[in-house]
Amino acid sequence: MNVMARATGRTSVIISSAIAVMTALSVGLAGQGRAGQAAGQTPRQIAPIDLTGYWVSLITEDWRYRMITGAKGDFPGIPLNAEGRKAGLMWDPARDEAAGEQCKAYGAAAIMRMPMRVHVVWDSDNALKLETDAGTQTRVFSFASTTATAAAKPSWQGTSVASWDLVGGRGSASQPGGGLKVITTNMRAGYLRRNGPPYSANAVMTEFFDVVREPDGTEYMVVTSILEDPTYLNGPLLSSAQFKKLPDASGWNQTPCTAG
Amino acid sequence: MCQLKRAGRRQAPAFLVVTAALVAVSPAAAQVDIAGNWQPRQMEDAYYRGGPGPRPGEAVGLPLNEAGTLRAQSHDVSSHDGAPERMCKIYGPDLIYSGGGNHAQFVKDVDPFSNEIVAWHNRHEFQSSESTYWMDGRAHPDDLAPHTFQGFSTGEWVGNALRVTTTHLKEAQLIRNGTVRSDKATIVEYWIRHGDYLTNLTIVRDPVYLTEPYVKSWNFVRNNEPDMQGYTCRPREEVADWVPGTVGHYLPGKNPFLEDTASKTLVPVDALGGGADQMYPEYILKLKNMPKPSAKPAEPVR
Repeated sequence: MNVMARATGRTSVIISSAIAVMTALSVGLAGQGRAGQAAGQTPRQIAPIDLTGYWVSLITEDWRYRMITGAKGDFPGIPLNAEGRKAGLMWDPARDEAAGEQCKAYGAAAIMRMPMRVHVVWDSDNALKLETDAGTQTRVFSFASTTATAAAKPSWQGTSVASWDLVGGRGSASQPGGGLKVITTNMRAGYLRRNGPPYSANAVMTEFFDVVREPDGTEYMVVTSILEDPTYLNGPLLSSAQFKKLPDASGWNQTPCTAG
Repeated sequence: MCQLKRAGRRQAPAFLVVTAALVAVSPAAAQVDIAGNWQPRQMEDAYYRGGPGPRPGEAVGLPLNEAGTLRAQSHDVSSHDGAPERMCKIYGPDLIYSGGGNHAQFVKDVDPFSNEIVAWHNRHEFQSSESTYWMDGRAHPDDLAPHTFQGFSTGEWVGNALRVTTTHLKEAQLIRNGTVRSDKATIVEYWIRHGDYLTNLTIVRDPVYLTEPYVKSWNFVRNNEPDMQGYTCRPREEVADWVPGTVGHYLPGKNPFLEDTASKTLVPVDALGGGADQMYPEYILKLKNMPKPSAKPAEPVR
């Protein structure tokens, strides 16, 4: 074989290889489909974002109601109905403390707006665990909906069913992005803020956890929350809390719940 | 040797094919259609946003440096903002959704041949302003280019978020009481859609008045009403003793409203001026050691 022939042969091989690579990658990406999940892959394997690690809340909103306790009856922004307002005016932190109900402002519907650090880990391939230092609470986001929704005693953190909310995937070249969607039910009635605006045991909360990474490497997590409560709210309560990722557990300081 | 060179030239198309193939399959970030009208929900920071606004000198939770605090607490809202030439001053992209009933209307410019999105126009109902997010990879203009209230913005998709970077801003308020960021600030926004909900994460960096990025978020709900209200601010004289040409202000330490702000917000006077440490949970311990203001809470806001 002369040089020309070898070169022509190599060209064919390269073109064939390119087509093969393109086909393989296309199949690989397309195989993920819109949901980005190939058969047999666990939620942990297909996670479009990494929520694990330590995060600290950035208290730049509702500061007056998160860093200090607002005055009785001061509930701006919360769409309380008449029953909700009436219940809110009954707030009595000393009574809550005496009754062992000091965690009422640390339930799932309010905890993400507490000034705190959170620690997120994979509890298993099918569940994320989020721990808080403020109030020493634990939330479990289970992707295995059949077990997560099994009847359980209502708790401050309720029962949370998780799924990846994936977007994109149009065409074989698009990389799915997405966030975590969590629906929480089965909560004990509690407070939306420290000064007593209530949510009931009938409340249902939908949350979206998203992570963005700045060009300088800083990562932020934003948790968008939609709370629906036919007992105490006129309509959904929509809010979002932001967190900054930390390199380690520095500053982690678990403290018990306190009322007021 | 000559034959080898010719062989190399013959391989060039093959390399181009390989390169093209790899480019064709390299993952692109997911794009989401955000076109349409979105209505903000001002349920968090309701006092600051849709409500009456922060009280004079109140800048809690903002990572202001000393100059930022001084500027915030020397601001005389009534005689400064009440002056006709400043009455209709436009908000920047980091405050624009504070107006009552302020919709965001996203409209896209599409290249008719490639069908690529060249730009997103984010039209604001409040103040009838508009931000254009250039999606075609163009660079930001040089430092001497004009600054505007909405600045110059470029966008790109990162994961499920539209990341928008804005420079060339004019000085504008950070919150609605004269607390400002400078014209040297850079704003990064992330727009993230989940069904009928749209979240905006805003990160403001300002070498003049901030010591750390100021990070906040806004929430929107899909609104199928296509129309937005017009904006009809008309400058007029509202301050009885206003003298044309004066700039209303308080000298350092002379703001007469700080004690009143403290007693109505229950925030100690020493904490009113903000600071980066106020954004973090540990600040609660500092608050506990500060003298509590004499409580004179304002009328509760529902």
